[in-house]
Amino acid sequence: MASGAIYYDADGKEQVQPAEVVIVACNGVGTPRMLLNSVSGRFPNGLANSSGLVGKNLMFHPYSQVFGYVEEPLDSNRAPPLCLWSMEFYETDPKRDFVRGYSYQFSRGIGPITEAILSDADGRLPWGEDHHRIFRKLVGRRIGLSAICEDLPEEHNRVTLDPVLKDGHGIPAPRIDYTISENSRRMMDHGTARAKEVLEAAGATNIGVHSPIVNGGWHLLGTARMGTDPERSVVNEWGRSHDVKNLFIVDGSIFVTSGGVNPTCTIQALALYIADAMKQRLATLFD
Amino acid sequence: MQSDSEASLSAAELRDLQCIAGMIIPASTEFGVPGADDPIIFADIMRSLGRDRRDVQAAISSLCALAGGAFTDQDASRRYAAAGSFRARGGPQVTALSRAILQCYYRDDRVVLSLGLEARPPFPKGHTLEQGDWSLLDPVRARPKLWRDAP
Repeated sequence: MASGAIYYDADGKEQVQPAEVVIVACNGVGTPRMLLNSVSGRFPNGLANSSGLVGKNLMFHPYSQVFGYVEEPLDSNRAPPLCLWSMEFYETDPKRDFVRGYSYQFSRGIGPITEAILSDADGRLPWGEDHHRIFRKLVGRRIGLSAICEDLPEEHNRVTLDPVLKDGHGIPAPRIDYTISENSRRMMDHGTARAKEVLEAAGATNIGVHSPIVNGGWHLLGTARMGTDPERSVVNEWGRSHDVKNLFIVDGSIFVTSGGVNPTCTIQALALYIADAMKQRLATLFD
Repeated sequence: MQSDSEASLSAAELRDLQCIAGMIIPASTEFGVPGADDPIIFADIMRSLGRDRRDVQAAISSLCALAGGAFTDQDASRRYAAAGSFRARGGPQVTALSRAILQCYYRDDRVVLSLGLEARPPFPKGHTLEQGDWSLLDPVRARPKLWRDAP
């Protein structure tokens, strides 16, 4: 049984917080980092890690983004840029060369600052005399689709403790090893190809592709996975550690696949579900 | 009173940065807009450098090296050649310099108005939008469901 948590306060002084129940909610990198750093005689490989899976199966959401420009202004300064979603390619289709799928997120137009920064980075917005003329062809006319791809668990994608890097208190920092899988890569390529078809049918030109995008979608998931088998999962089906009966994990690390959607709503739903499960089991919570 | 960003850039760096800003986005009589070297916009750039300050300073230094001396003192052809080489090289210095200039330029009221936009944020006043043609979604609604029911 866990007896509480030890932490450094704002003045760098070590503090102890006793607790009847400990709930870890540091997400897909912070949670395994904390558990792997919490070694003891009983848990020499990290707390709650008898399965050896703490930190393994790290998953993200590789995004394939395709965009183009249309003639008519899209009113992008007057409403949210994300306006439509499609789950058409979400489920496994045996006719495709990948399993699982992705959701599409449609966007229409972005504001002048973002358009300027993105188009400058892509080299499509010139410096100098022609800047204003080109910018007026771009601003408010960008239309795009992003395929949010469902990453699947692979043990070689993982969070471990860095052998050298430490934080200001001397606690080992997380180290991340991750490679986009062939399945996710094929999913991204499929999403890119279909998005180009959609944009061309909509009359867009000047089409650009960012796959994967660098500045989004790197949601931190899967490193303390949920399951009924203590040898193949870290927490049980209601979020309790298989090894420590009063330790719960409530964050993105308990996902078993990444799901092809942004994860916050699912994490919130899991938090409510686990809280309900704890409430219903109060008399036998630690059995 | 000088901001932290102004205080940390030398007089020569300030002069070069203002020159570079005006090269990247020059004033235009055709579109009725100031350049990014406009005093009000440049003051905003300086106030807003924040965490980009070191990369922007490094960018100025790189541009001077490519131009063969203090950037502002070079003739226009050398400055444009240096800026072209610098941009083609890419990297965090280019990103930081561009972002510092573009983000302040495109929030200036005069520039925003020249684009046909209202010089105000969408909140809290909001906007009233005319309804689109929702019948476009009828074929989508008519399709059989393509998702699995939760067990």
